[in-house]
Amino acid sequence: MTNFKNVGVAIGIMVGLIVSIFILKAINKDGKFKSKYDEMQEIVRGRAYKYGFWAIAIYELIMCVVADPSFDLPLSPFLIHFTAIIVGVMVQVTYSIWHDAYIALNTNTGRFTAVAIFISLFNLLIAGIAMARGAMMENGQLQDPFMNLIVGVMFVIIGIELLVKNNVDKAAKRED
Amino acid sequence: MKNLKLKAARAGKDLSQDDLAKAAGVSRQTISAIEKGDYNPTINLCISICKILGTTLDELFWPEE
Repeated sequence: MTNFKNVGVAIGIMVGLIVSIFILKAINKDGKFKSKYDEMQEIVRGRAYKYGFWAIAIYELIMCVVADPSFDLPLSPFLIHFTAIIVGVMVQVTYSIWHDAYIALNTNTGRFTAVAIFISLFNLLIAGIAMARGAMMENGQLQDPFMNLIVGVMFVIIGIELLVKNNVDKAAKRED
Repeated sequence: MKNLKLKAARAGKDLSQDDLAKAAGVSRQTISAIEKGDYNPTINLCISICKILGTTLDELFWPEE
């Protein structure tokens, strides 16, 4: 049973990667897969990846200590590792947003917003259905649908950050 | 240190930060950061900005004594 689940997760990840290639092509103005950043953005993004890496390293170090049966952590093993990715992504994205390096030069912001809203709602919907069916928690541990909740909330946070940053930029633009 | 010479040269050409950024192939925030002195551009970007504004590297980027 576990093997079937693992294969399912692996297939899901592969499908997700393929879909994300098409999404990137769709949200870029030039229809290319690669996002273009200028020299300042490249430097900032390098720093953002560095902080993201350290965030994951610190999180995993904490989990080395805390993810022990004696601590009774309410997360399944899958969620423990998936949350590490989300922590790293959030640090990288947040740093990039606040240092003007998240939106690429060739990003169509309208299409990007539409895709982000869709991904967020889709994941929140799956999480909501799982919650309604009582599948979110099992034996005192949060189960895989919690991943959808995390992803949905992550996109909501990214959206809010982008909105606030946009307003800060508008005020700064008026000063310039 | 703020780059007021760049800001003046840009205004002299009646260009907004957006216009200059588009012409130089960078983001508006990068131009803003250069003007504010928050970012030191590469020599390639300096040359590109000078060509767009019709000035020299000395005029825009050489620090005053």
